[in-house]
Amino acid sequence: MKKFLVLSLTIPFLVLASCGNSKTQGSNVAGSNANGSLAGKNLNVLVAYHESMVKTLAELFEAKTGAKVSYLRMPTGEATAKLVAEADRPTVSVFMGGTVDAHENLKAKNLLASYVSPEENFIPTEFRDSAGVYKTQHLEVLSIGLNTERWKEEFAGKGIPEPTKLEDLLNPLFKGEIIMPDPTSSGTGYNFVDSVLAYMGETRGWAFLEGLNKQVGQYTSSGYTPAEKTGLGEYLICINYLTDQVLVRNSGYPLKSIAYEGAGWSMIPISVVAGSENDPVTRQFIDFCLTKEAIDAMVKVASTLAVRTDANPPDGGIGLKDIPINRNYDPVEGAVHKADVLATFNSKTGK
Amino acid sequence: MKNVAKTKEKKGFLIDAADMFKDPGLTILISLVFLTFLVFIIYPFSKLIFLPTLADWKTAFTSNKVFQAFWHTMASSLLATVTAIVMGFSFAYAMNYTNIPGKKFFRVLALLPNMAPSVMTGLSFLLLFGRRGVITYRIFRLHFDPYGWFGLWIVQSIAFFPLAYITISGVLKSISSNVELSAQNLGASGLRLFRTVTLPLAIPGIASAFLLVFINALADFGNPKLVGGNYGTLATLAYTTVTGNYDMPLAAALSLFLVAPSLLVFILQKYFLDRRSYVTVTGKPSGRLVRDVVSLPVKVVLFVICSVISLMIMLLIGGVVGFSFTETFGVNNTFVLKHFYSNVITSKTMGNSWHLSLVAAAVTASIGVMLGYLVNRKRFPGRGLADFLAMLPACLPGTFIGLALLISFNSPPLMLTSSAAIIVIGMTIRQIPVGYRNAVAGFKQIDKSIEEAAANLGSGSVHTFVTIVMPMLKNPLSICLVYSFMKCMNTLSTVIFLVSPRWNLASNSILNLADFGSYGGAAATALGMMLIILITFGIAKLLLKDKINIFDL
Repeated sequence: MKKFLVLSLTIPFLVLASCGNSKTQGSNVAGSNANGSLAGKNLNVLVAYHESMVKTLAELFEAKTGAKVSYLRMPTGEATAKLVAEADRPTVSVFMGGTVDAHENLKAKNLLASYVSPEENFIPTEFRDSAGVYKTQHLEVLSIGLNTERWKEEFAGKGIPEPTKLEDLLNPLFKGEIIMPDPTSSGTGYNFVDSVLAYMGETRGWAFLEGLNKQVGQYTSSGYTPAEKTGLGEYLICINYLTDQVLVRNSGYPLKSIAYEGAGWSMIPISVVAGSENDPVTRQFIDFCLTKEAIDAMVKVASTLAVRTDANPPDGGIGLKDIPINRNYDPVEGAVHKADVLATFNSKTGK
Repeated sequence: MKNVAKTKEKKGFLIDAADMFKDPGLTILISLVFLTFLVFIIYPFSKLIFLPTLADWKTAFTSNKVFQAFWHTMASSLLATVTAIVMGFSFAYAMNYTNIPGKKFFRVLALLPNMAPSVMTGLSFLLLFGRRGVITYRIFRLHFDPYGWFGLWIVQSIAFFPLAYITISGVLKSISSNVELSAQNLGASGLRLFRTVTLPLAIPGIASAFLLVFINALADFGNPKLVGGNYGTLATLAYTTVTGNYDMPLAAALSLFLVAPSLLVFILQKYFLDRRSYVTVTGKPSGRLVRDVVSLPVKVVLFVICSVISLMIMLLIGGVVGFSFTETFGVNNTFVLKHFYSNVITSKTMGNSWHLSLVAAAVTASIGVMLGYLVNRKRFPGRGLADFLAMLPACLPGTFIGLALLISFNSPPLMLTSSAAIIVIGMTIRQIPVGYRNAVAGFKQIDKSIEEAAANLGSGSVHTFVTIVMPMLKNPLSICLVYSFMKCMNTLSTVIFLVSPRWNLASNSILNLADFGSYGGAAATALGMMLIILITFGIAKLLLKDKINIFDL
């Protein structure tokens, strides 16, 4: 017993002593972009999209350069909070994934650094960051999701067509059967509200959102949840990103995605965390993630909507040209007036 | 059981301080305790307290949304706490006072909800009892909507039942049966015996359980996020303030709102509990005589209660098992092993979780018991403060403990981010309140005079503790080890900001898998955790034999 006590009292201090931080510092040679061997170098990446996507990129990069890529996945909000908390000494060099407003927010706090990549020439200017901080890998597009099984059982006989545009969602038959992410807590939810206002204009947009609020059965805190719950049949209709709906459908649930006119979208970026902009491994990794090889691999793994002009189209999936997105929409502008829009949304919906 | 008239002892700060110096072992220990508190609790928490500006506080105090969330939190926590205590007490009473059939089975089952992360049990609940639940909708065709206060009440009651059961059972177990047998010999029986002897003696356990469950419910985040729907609580609001608006100062202010009600309950309990004596372990040899105090109708009622609780737990765990071994549970029920293979057999994070939880549980148990001993048995300056500090981490949502640690230990002198140490510290801080409370409840029942006798015979503080106190603390210590190990294995909100690529954890994998719709993978990971916890307990039992109680808590 005595031994146990002594041991248990000393363990914490031993652990503390033995767990020193062994973070490899990149040498500060600016832009040594010799695509040579980076063997023995380590790169820490924070990622907010699907683990299978980052895994693919990491493995390709490791095979190419010999560097070791260690990644950590978190939801966008947590990742952002982590970067803010670690501001004085970041533990990661790259932040990839998440909506553009998260990157804009971090950029405003000077937590991300600008870096010019030669690969950016292949990205259309409309998707580029003018400050040269984040680089767009692909787009996320908003879509209406419909549970086909429930539609067949409960609604098909009522003589109404499937919803194809936003206004169709205001049908009283759907009251309480619509689920969407909460704009105050989810980047996806905010992206939807902001894009509706951009497409319909302030007056019509707010009127529509007020009408929709009466129809919504639940606002969720995460952007993915609505697709999941609609797939399970808990709700009939969801609004969120197409890729989330595709994921649910690929798991075997009866969820159909409907592209609607004037759909909002967000760029899904990759950025250098401030302090690592001169690290050759970081720079090479960013370059690599924008190459045709990397983007094509992402399209293959997750049916992403690539923005790179020469990227392969997805196998039998939907490419960017096939979706009636609102080309005039600017998600970056949405990030700027986010606080005002949310304040109005909360007052109009009584949330 | 009456209050022994105390001989006049000299009291006062200076006397206490002078006493301390007579016992160097004690002095060193107390200094160590306070140093640990200072570094790992006071420092990170003060960082959190000074985050919000005056404007943030103003927003927090004037916002309707916050006001509403505050009342939601209070109401739902109180409801869940009372329910969990009633369930926990019935269960603990049945286990310790009756010979109903299936006790072994019930005991193991009661711990199961604690072995799976709430992400998974919550999902299982929704699948069985949700809007399209297998039971509520497919079988009974009910249109039951679980989202909101009602669903939250059920899920939280189940989630906190094990904590209530373990805490109350620990105290019931150590009530000497002689007391009740004497009462019976004097003619008390049935309800009268229960009301006048058992219940009063169980009060420290019930009060401890109430305090622990209530504080935990206040800060609970996983369940409200899953089934709260549009019923927002402070913990979820604080979380979405960070993750949605990236507004950490305001979120810190919101989470500090949770400290006030916790403090109130804490003070009430101290005031109410500290004025009575509950000693039943006197060190005099007492043959553990078998109790026979419960009549048959009562046994039947207890058996039914235990069965209903167990059935509910089995259904939830059954849902997890169903997800683990089918392609897509409820849609495509083909039996597959792939989820289990890739997320348990070949998983690195599982090993990390096990490794770190084991260390954290050992640390929690030793610190918890040591603190309990010091606060309960010794008089030293700052005793009340130590008591409060040990409970403080329970008042805050885990997310904020994680964030506070991240902010605090990201720069020299203590640079711990991305290390295993910071995860262990996070887990330990989160579990200390439970370990400490259980130790205190245990000490309240052990007669001080045994230790005093040892001291009179010339034994120092440390020696007395090791040779006299530790053996009598088998129960509280076991509870603390078992409970904290389970909770550390599946804690998520505390560690989400502390994990690093090198030290990632299984609970984080569950979140990532669930986030991307791989319920099979998430469930298999949860199931793997349960199995690993059970196997670990089995091995511990084999090694330590009767030095530890695992399921007969």
